[in-house]
Amino acid sequence: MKRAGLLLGVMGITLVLFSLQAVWGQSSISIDLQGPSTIQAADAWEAQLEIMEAQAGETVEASVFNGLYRHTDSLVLGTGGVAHWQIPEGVLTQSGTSLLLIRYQDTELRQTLRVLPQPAQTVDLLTTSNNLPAYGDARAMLIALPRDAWGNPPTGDISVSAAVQFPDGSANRLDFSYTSGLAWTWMRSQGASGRVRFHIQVQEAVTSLELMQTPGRPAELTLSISPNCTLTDGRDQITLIADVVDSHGSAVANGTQIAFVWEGGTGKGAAVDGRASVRIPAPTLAGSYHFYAESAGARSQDEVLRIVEQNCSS
Amino acid sequence: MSKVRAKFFIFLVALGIMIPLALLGVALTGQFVFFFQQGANPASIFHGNELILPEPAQARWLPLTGYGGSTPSQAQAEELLAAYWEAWTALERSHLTGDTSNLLTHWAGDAYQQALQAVDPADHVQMTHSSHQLRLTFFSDDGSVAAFDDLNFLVEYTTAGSTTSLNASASIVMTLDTGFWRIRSLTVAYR
Repeated sequence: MKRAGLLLGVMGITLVLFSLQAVWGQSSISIDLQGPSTIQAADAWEAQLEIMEAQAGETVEASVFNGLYRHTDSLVLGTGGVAHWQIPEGVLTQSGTSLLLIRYQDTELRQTLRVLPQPAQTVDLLTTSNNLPAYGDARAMLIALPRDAWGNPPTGDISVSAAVQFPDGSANRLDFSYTSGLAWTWMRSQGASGRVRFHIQVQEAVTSLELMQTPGRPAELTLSISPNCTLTDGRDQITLIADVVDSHGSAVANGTQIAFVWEGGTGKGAAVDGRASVRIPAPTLAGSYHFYAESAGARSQDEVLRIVEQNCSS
Repeated sequence: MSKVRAKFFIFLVALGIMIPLALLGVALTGQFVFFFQQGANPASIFHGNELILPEPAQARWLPLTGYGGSTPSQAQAEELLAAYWEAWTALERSHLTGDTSNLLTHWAGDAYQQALQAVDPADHVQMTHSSHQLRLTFFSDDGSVAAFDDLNFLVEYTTAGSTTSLNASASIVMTLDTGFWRIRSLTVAYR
């Protein structure tokens, strides 16, 4: 009886150990992947895979998630469960943190691979306003989007600045803030109207941009009439000329609408280089006619046109 | 019957006829108006694209603090959120159908090339995405450029019955062009 009991006990323990070993055996598969943990975008990458519990000839699915792209290889294991995983250049092009994923039976290995961007080769420079009122009256944003040949923005805290030249010849340097792949700064107008030029370099990327500083609103109008005296014969035409400047004495922007007003009529002209004009037939009744010009609430002094019957010099 | 009574009687009869006629007229007018209110909402011609906001579990803004530039209005923030969600959904559809023709509506520049490269027309993959938590880092003063981080979102790929779940964060730049917000830059960091 004792011997039978002992035999049964040994068999039971053996059975338990065998079961435990079967369970442990399943979760004790170890996958080891040895390779560089950091590369530059589009570089080739290779690593050695080892799964000791695997048999030669077995296949393993190996995937890498790079940006939105998924690259998958089937690796055939050699002796000792070893395989060489090679990803050629031009595949891992997206910077960030890629994910390496190895699956063997029910075991999975996840490992990250840091992909650094190449030096920026292009930079887009944008402004939120192509025309900016001059004299410091307004500001706009400058936004730079640098990227490498694969479209990756630089990482980390990079230094971005732009050289700016104002219409009055003065120069300045603008420092940008950099976040999430985008550099930006505020820029305030300076001096009179004209072209403002920006030049920016980010790593190997260089670009330029221009915007216009525009004059202010019409502040002062000067009207002249040519000729300012005509006969009543109805053969003459007169030209009304308005010179318009802003509060800083600069000619207003081209296209500014100028209204010419006289008793019984009005006319309109668009300013070019601060001057607008209209040509109208001269009145045929003798007398003095008053004209003025106005724009955006500013008005010139009245100018007088004389219509005479015989001689303007009298 | 006296004249007064006769007139009163005629008045009552006329009233009895006029009231139903008046009610009939109102009913017919109502039907007339209703008829022209049917079909497309006349005001919808002014709405353009319909704004479909994702559920908070799908995508949401984290509190708008600590960002640079200008402050987006609530409408702008919602538009941006909806457009970002739609961009991912367009990618999801492209993976499933192999048709990438709609990607250009939501992706631009290098990000578009990246999205295009991600889709294999011959391999129909079911991709789902959720839990986008957006932290604004920049918004331009003219409301046309935005940058933000998408924190710890979930992407799942299912192919041949096998599902792979991935957690990731991303840095994004979106630009507003011809009325559409598009992803212009997307840098993903998987965990």
